[in-house]
Amino acid sequence: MNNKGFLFTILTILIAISIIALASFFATERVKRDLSAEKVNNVFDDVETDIEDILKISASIERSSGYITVSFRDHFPLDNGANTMSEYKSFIEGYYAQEIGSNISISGLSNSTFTIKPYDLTYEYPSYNKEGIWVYNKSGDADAIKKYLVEIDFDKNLANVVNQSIPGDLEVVIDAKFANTEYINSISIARNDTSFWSFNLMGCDCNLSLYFGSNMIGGEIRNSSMVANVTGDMEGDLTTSIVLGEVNESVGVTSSIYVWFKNKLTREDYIWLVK
Amino acid sequence: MTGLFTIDSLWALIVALGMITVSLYLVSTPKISYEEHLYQVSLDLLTVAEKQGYLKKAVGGDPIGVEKMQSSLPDDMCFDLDIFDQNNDLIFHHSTECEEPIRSSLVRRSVISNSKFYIARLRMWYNEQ
Repeated sequence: MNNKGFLFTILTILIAISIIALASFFATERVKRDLSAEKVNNVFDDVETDIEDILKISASIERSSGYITVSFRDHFPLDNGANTMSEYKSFIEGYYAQEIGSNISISGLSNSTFTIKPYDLTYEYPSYNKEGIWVYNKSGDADAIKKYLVEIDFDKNLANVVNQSIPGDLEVVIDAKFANTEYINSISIARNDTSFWSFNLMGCDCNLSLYFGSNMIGGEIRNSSMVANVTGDMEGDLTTSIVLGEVNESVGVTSSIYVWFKNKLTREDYIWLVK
Repeated sequence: MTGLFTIDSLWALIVALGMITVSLYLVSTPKISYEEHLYQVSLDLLTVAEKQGYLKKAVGGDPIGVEKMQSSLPDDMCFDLDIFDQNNDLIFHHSTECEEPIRSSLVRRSVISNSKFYIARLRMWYNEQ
């Protein structure tokens, strides 16, 4: 009887020690898993920061009284931008991946686009050299857009502005700062016709043009869209704020750049400017 | 003491409750080790340094940002910051005046300056002197 009791006590103690050991193991493992996830998040954050740095772009989202405003702060054109992005891909997949002891692959550089989700609106460059900026809906008209607010800052003197605007319900506000003057215009234009502002600058054969409403983009007519083009030797800042109707879903801006990462954990995702 | 409530059963109950408490405590409170804490702090420090533009300044030879990094840390935290170019040549080095560590944490971030790419390596430790 005593032997049975002794055996029972030993078994109980062994089971108790096992339970505590298991609890201790899981407590430590969870931290290890969290650190691996943190390492992966750091890589994605690092790439996102670099891409914003190379492309000189950032985005933000604001919600206010039934509207959502998505703003892109951009600088264009970008001298040698396409080559720099291609070199960056080689750097990350080679030297950087080796340095952090992981496998990384970057794809989607051939499409220089950003998508505003869930609206499926596109903010796009013809290439990463950013000869122009297009805002449109790839699968139809961008009627979700209520208003464009465009702020321009170019360090050149303005010679004159040529403007043609067709009345409608798409609100456009332009605030253009030049070295010698500031041009402000607030107007409602047609979504299915083309209104334009052409800024001719002094001291160079330079021009900045903005087209709103109906534009030919990628071989298709896109209504409620915006096109910004620069010609000549100049560059400057262009902030495009797009005012949209509110949705219940979360709003974000994703790029076409896709990153695949493998170490202890595997993760693949687009690079988001705002999530 | 008769029936269910014997002295033995009370002892068993106390021991069982103690073990359950210890197990629940261990599972609900993840242990953060010295290295893990250092890793998180160094990752945060290097991320902030990049986003504040300190690393870019360091690539250009200006140590002011890195000195700000140092002044933002508690006195018992030490670090070495090295920045390498794509040929793995050291182009910037900054070290706090501390004893060499027994245990340290190493984190890395990429830096871009004038369309050139660099790697920043931050080694961090507690000054145990």
